[in-house]
Amino acid sequence: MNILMRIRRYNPEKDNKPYWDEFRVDMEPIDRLLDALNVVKWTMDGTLTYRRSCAHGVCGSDAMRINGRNRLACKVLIRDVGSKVTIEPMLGFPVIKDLVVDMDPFFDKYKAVKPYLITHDSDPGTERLQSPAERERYDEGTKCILCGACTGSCPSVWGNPDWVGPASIVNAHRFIFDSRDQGAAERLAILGQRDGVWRCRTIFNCADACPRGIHVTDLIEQVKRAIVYNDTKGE
Amino acid sequence: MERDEAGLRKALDTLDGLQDAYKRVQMQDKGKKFNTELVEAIELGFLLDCAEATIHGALARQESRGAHYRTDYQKRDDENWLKHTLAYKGTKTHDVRLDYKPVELIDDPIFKPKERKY
Repeated sequence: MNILMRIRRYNPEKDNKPYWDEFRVDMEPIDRLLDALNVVKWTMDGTLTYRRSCAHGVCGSDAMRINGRNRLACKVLIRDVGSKVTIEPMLGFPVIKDLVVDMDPFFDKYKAVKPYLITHDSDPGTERLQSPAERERYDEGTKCILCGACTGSCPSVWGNPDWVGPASIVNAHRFIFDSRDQGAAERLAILGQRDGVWRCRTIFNCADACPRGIHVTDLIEQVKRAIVYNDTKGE
Repeated sequence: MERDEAGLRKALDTLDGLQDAYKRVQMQDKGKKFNTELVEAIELGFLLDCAEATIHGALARQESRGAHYRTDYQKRDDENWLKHTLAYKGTKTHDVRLDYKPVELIDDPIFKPKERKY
């Protein structure tokens, strides 16, 4: 099927401001939108710039705003976007070039919540065991691939780029509720601050945007409750 | 996937053409900022180098082993070929020097190295 691609372009070396560019490509209905971008780049305009890597929805490189919603270009099928598709860089991030945004602030915020195992005991010398139920408790957050789709879809982030954002909270949740981890108090102290969890207004854009189907808003609410009730065991 | 001498020679010919074309590779993106087209062009050159090493190594290895299946040499030949191939690229076309290094086999009581016969 023939589709019209409207792509938001910006080359900092040439353009004063972003503009809309249009391309017509013939694609199969079950091709992915990333395939269509590749057709444009490889056969029409080599300067079109976007991130891509695995092309199978696992690496999280090609999150972009597709018909107004943050999606991975490698997971969206041509038949699902229709004959005209609008592609923009994700909102809430500085644009580097075309669809490529600067993810450095995103990863700074990710690191700020200490997304790694914290323990105060000495090394047990063996695996740190946990029950299937304990593993299940934080399973949802482990699915995150750090693509930024949730954070870039969040109006609270758009309004305040300093806010820690949904992706960081998801990854904090993953450790806060891990039975082997002892850093919950540190993380809850960080997330209880001004730019912590409380700027979330439960808009649910994050949950809609997540390509891994993570119930992002639910996880954020769980962290809020852990702060309010000072309890990381409760549901 | 099957390999034989004729097929591998044909692959070398194809590679010749690709390497020749690669000398004239062009880009539309002349920018210095986030130039993915430039990166891809450089990586394409690396891929051609790897292909050259692969084909020369496979031509020399007159046996079958693992995924390297030669229809003209179907048996595994530990006497001559229980060794790693090392390929070195010179500056000229077809200037690939092959060298070999011994395989360090771990003496595992359960998993003995053996011929692939399926």
